[in-house]
Amino acid sequence: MSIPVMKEVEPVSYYSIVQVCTVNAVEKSFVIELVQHGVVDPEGDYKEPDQWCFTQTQVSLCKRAANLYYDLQVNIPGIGLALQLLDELEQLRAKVKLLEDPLK
Amino acid sequence: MEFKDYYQILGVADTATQDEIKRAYRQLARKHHPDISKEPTAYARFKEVTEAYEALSDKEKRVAYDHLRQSGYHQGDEFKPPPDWQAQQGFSDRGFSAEDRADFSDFFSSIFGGGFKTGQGRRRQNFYGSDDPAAADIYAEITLQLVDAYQGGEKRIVYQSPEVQHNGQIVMKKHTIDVSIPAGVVDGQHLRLKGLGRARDSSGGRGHLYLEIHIAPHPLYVLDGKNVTKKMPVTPWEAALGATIDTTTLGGKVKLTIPPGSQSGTKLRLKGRGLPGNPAGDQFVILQLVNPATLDQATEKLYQQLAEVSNFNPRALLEGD
Repeated sequence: MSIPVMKEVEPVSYYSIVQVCTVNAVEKSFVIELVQHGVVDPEGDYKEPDQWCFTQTQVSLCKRAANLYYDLQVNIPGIGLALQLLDELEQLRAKVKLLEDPLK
Repeated sequence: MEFKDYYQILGVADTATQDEIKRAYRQLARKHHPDISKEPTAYARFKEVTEAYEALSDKEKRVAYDHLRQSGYHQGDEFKPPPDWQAQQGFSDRGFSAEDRADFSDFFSSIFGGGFKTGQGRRRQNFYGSDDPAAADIYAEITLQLVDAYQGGEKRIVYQSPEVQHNGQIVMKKHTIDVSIPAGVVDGQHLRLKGLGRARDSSGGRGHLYLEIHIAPHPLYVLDGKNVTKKMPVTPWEAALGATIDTTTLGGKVKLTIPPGSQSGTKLRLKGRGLPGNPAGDQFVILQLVNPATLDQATEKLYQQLAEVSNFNPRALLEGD
């Protein structure tokens, strides 16, 4: 049997809250809590979650938040702090990588 | 298959209390969590400790596991479950869906018949049949090489989706499909494949498949969104006098102009030479000054002349004169 070819491929640029929930396998209430705690900051009316508009970076952020929440039982304020520190760590690691072993 | 010593994996004695096991697991989970650790083995280690915890934190599972372990197995030994094992223990398929089982080690599954799915275990469950239109959407991932992300092209993916059989039973069905990946996708981006999700209950239509793109690390290029960065070794005289050198980009060779007086660490930009798009990303080149490891006579003589002639003192500011 020949393998079908899927041509109707649409890159997602902006995500609705429903899409964020689908791609990260999380409940809507979890995403709403992340927004209420300022962990992610989507575009759109703060009071209308169904009109929020997430960028790809924000979707990745939601995914990392969900991993910390479900795998390590970190609470939402703790997730905000952990992600901020991990982000700084990431930037420092990138700098170190460029400074040491310059030719690798 | 290999026997896994779950006590050794968690670093606890086989007499450890449930509290000690939980503490050891929490420490190791934090240390090896793939969102925290950048070690290449992080994901595998995290999966291993989670599996060990899953086995030892459940009293019934632990008793069953201890029974097996006491028959003389050690970490890495060749293991075969006793012939009537699952029937005897009554673990087989208890409460686990086919979807959950996707991520187990064979060893775990052979003893307990199923288990958890790393990172997804306690997340939103399959909400098949709910009224939410998103319930018909499904999700899959694909890892591409950087060159594939740059050029785009057809890639084969295999994914699973739950289907209802005539008798009402839900089974995971495997699908294989070729997807034409557009050029210029970035790490973490999703592609929506219309109509490849599961069937919606009432309307008869189908949901979508969301395909998440991952880009494998590249030995030369560091990726940041659509931008790529590469290091470029240059000689001290090229950096001092300026030069035009050949450099490779994702799209082929280009000439790169090094301005006179460049330093090690100088960052140069090749506009639009990153991943394609609107706007396209850039390629950054970071210069690294490299001295020859050994000097031939002529070069050494020139360096000596330079030392005599030049009054450049890079330490002037450090020494305060």
